[in-house]
Amino acid sequence: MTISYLIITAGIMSAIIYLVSKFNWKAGTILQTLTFLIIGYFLYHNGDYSSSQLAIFNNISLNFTYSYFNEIFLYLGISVMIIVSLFSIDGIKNYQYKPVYNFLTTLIFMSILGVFGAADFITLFIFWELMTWVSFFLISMGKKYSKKAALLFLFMSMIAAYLMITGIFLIDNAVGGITFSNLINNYGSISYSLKFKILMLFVLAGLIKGGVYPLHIWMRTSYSESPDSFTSILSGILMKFGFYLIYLIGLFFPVAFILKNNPSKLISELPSSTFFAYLAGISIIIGTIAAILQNDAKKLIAFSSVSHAGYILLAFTYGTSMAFAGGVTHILVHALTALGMFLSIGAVYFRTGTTKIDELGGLIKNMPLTFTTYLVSIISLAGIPPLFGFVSKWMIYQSLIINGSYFLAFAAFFGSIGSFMYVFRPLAGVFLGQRPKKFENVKEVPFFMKAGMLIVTILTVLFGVLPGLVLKPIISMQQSIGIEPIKASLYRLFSGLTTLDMLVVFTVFGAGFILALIIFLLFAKPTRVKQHEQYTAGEIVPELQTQPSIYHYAKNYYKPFSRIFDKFPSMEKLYKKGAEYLSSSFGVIEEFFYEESINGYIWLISITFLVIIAIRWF
Amino acid sequence: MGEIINYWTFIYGPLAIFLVGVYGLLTQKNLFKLVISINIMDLGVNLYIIALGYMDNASAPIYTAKLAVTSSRFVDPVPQALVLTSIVISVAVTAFVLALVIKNYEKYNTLDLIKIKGIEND
Amino acid sequence: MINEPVLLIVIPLFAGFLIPIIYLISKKAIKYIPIIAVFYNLFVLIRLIQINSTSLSYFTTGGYKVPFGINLIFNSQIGIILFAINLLALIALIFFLKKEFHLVNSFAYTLGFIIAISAVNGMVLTGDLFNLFVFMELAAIAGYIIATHKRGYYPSFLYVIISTFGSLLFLLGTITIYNVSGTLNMASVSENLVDVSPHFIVVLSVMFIVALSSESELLPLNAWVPKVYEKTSITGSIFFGSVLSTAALFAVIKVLVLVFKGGYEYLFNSLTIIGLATLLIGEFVAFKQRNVRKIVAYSSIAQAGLIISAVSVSLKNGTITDSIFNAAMFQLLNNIFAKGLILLGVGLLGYYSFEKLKGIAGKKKFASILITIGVLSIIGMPPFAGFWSKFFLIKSLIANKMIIFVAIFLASAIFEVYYYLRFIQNMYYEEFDSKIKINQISAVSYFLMISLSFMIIYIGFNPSSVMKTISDIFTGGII
Repeated sequence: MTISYLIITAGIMSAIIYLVSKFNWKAGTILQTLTFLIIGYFLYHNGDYSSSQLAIFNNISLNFTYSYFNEIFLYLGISVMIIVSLFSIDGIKNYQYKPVYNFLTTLIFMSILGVFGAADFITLFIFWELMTWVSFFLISMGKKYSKKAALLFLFMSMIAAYLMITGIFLIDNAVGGITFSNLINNYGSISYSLKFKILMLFVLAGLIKGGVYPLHIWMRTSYSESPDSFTSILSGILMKFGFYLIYLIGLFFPVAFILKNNPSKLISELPSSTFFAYLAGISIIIGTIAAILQNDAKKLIAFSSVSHAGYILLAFTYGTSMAFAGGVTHILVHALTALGMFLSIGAVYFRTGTTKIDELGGLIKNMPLTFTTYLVSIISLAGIPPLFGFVSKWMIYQSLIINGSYFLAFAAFFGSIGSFMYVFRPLAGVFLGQRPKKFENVKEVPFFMKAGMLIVTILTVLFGVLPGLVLKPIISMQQSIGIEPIKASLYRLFSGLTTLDMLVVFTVFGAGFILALIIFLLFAKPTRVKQHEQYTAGEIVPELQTQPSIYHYAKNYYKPFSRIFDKFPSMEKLYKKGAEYLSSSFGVIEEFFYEESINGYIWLISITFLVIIAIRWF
Repeated sequence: MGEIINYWTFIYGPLAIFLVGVYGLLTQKNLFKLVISINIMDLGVNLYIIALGYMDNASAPIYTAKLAVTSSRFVDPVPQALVLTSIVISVAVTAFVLALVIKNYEKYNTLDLIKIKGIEND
Repeated sequence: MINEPVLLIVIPLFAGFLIPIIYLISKKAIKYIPIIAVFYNLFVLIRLIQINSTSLSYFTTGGYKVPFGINLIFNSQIGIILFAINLLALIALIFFLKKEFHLVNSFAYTLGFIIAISAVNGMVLTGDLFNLFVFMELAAIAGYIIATHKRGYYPSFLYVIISTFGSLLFLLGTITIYNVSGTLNMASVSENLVDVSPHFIVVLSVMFIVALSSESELLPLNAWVPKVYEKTSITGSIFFGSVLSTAALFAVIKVLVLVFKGGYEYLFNSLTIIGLATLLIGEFVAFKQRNVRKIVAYSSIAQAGLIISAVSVSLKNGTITDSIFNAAMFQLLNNIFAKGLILLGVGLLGYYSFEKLKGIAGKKKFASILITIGVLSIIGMPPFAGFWSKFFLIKSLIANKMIIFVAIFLASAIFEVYYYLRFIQNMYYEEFDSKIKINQISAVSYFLMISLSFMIIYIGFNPSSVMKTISDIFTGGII
């Protein structure tokens, strides 16, 4: 089964799933999960790399390929979709438009296959656009402010898409074709300035989609307002489209070319690389700070995505073999951990109806598996050994250390330390601490949601212990394009400086954990106090009855820290002001051109007439 | 062609009339006056068309036995045919617009442009 | 006799004369005459498209050879565009007779519509400048009448003044051209314009630009568009949006190609600028609107600007740059269906303001989905027709190194996507106001909408072959 058939299958199944969901949404969602599984199986079963065409268009055929460079992304996309779909079997119970949701997510699946499976830029673009409008409808289905969020998402996505299509046609002009292979073969014939333009267009498009500062403005609202299970897809896969684009352009464009011809001169051909590396550093810092300041768990993760987008970009702009592999690995890491975090926060929302940290608390007893998923995900996200996140960060740090830039190293470490602060906060505020009275009878989520989260947890741990599973296709990709591959075995990684043995790390940490557990069980003697006793010291505070959340201990958790950034200019506010200004100027334009009296129109016409003549005449 | 351009009055006179109409459109606020301005412009254009077809010492473009003997010059028949059509169209438009003005008056009780626009926008 | 394009003009005109007579006999019977006439038109068109090749051929009237007398230009590509226009006219008519016939003075409006169809066909077909003026005036007069369909007397008055101003300028220009070139035939005019002073040509061409911009909705003279679209009936809006504006745009393009093709760079540069200004300002203003009719009106203005500027860019070098020109024509064709579908669908729902359309999709699912298809096509989303015309347009523009043009086009397209999808979002995801009465949509209306969306999807999956049927309209050779 080549990808084109799989895409057609997905398209047909979307209609069937919609119809089935109309009768019984649960059956429809199960059918969806099965469809994704079967399509994934067929892709795996086929095994061999292959190319295919979809020629229902005369003259314009859509080219697909299943090859060394997109293999890993295809599997990433399919597995994320399978997990989310599994989660959705119970998770979409409260949604208003279930059949449409299933229909649209199947279309999203189709567009994921299309984007990752594309063998030319036009195919990529078509499925990218499909994804844009389908996501728009999906985000709109979410919570109270989701409509505005969807519009912002749409606006930014369209900018990205149009930058991209301009770049695509520039390539088409320069090399006479838009297939990837054509680009690789004719790369050398493109002039330097054109190369620069194309690179800029693609990278900007990728940065918008990937949510790198200062183009991240759509992420906060889209993530927090869209339906929970779709947020997972959005952060798990759709945001990665941007980096896939940068990856592709990096693969086929400067990096591959430079590495092939001059392995020592890694990043100097394009000065923009340095610029983007610094942008990545800024993105890491600002994403981290902003994440620390959030009170909503989903917004918090959204800003952490900004920071991690910075890491991925940093890795790609560094351009060494190790960094490149680290970037790709970090895409996988972030997809998996963001998935885990959003699923677990989604599970909390499913039971409690809120994602505000200061309204929650103490859910560890009610939802142990959700807690575990969240814990494992944040450990991985913060890059703490022994989980998957550590592997990619290790790879990125290795390249940073070898190539040495103080600012970037500072940014990367700041991001790491900062991430302890922000990921710990939902952990403490949502799962630990005191449980509000109204949530005392909250139950763990239903079976399928648990299953989805469990898979994410297992994968995060598994890839952490055995990173070779993921690194193997990356190594073969590097070999195929002729870069010197990174050295890694199933659980060992080698850099120029040192060797990382994840099995040892895991054992050490596992042993430490067990030791700590034993100490805790033997010696800790916890005293139970009620939630607010620690503040009031027994006093009766009237607000405590009416607004308990202001006395929640997660409220103003990092007050001293956030006070530092009170005066910090917000990029989003800046954009908002710009948008308001623009909108009011549109009003002025309307008044001027379309709200005149008849005399006014005639004046306008006469003046235009005279101006056109006068310009030519004199 | 050069012969025709010499008749400046015939060319620029109608254009001046046309501009008078434009001036009306630029300044008048009364619906009727706007219609009249349009009519003045019509007049200017029609005169212009006729003027362009005119030639000295030429007879009407009707082919008769007498004509064939005495003269070899016609005025250009095409503009005359065109101007007929143009006049018919302008009459039709004027008739329609006048009906429209009455309807406007029935609806808004005023012929003042600014007032009508104000009512429209409310 | 059936192979004459002139039938397309004569048959509706004849039907128009028939209507008063029939009206004396039976007041209801006049319903069927326009339908029969347009059906017959479509039938003639199919024959004509089959018979004629892709090269331009002249059909003379009255036995006069080409530079003299009145002639019509036809080839199969023009046939396709005309077919689309007549199809939309038919749809508008069916809707009119079914829903709006009894609204007000049925006799006058039936007559108005059928005369308008005749005039529109004439505008597309004629190869003679003065003839074009007559047909434009005829279409405009019919348009004035249609604009008053829902007591929109002030917009209609506005339309009359602006349009008459434009057509008088057109007449001035035409007669001046006749004076310097000695002919009214578009193709021969361009040959005779060669040795005229360039200053004179500038005045002349500017006259034409301003004159033609009223019907084709270009900037200085398009103020009537939103007002008329907003106040007219549903039929009227479809008529203006899909039928009249398309025909007028085509007529403008025809004049530009046939009369001014000989490299009047300044003319085309200024037209490009005017077109782009129209595009940007149209999209900006549409962005502020919260009424679907007005949104479609402003977006239609913007599309007209886009098409005109693309065409003028393609004509700038003295020859036609085929790829851009064809893409622009493809865009023109796609807009006919998409705009018609949106206007029809929204008309059937019965409300135009965002406030009243809130959440209406919950009650009228199928109609909303069809409207969504129209919207997705007009904003250029795959897999619908509009995607491909935008695609080819960008492709050809970039291939000709018009990056600034593309940048303006894409920047405005972002706004277009935004406001159209905001409207769709409003239809789907807002809370439905239960006080609002829901209109019943009949099977016939659904059929009309489905056929339009079928066209959009068909083109969406078969773009190249459809585009091929309308490419090289004026460069495919002359018989």
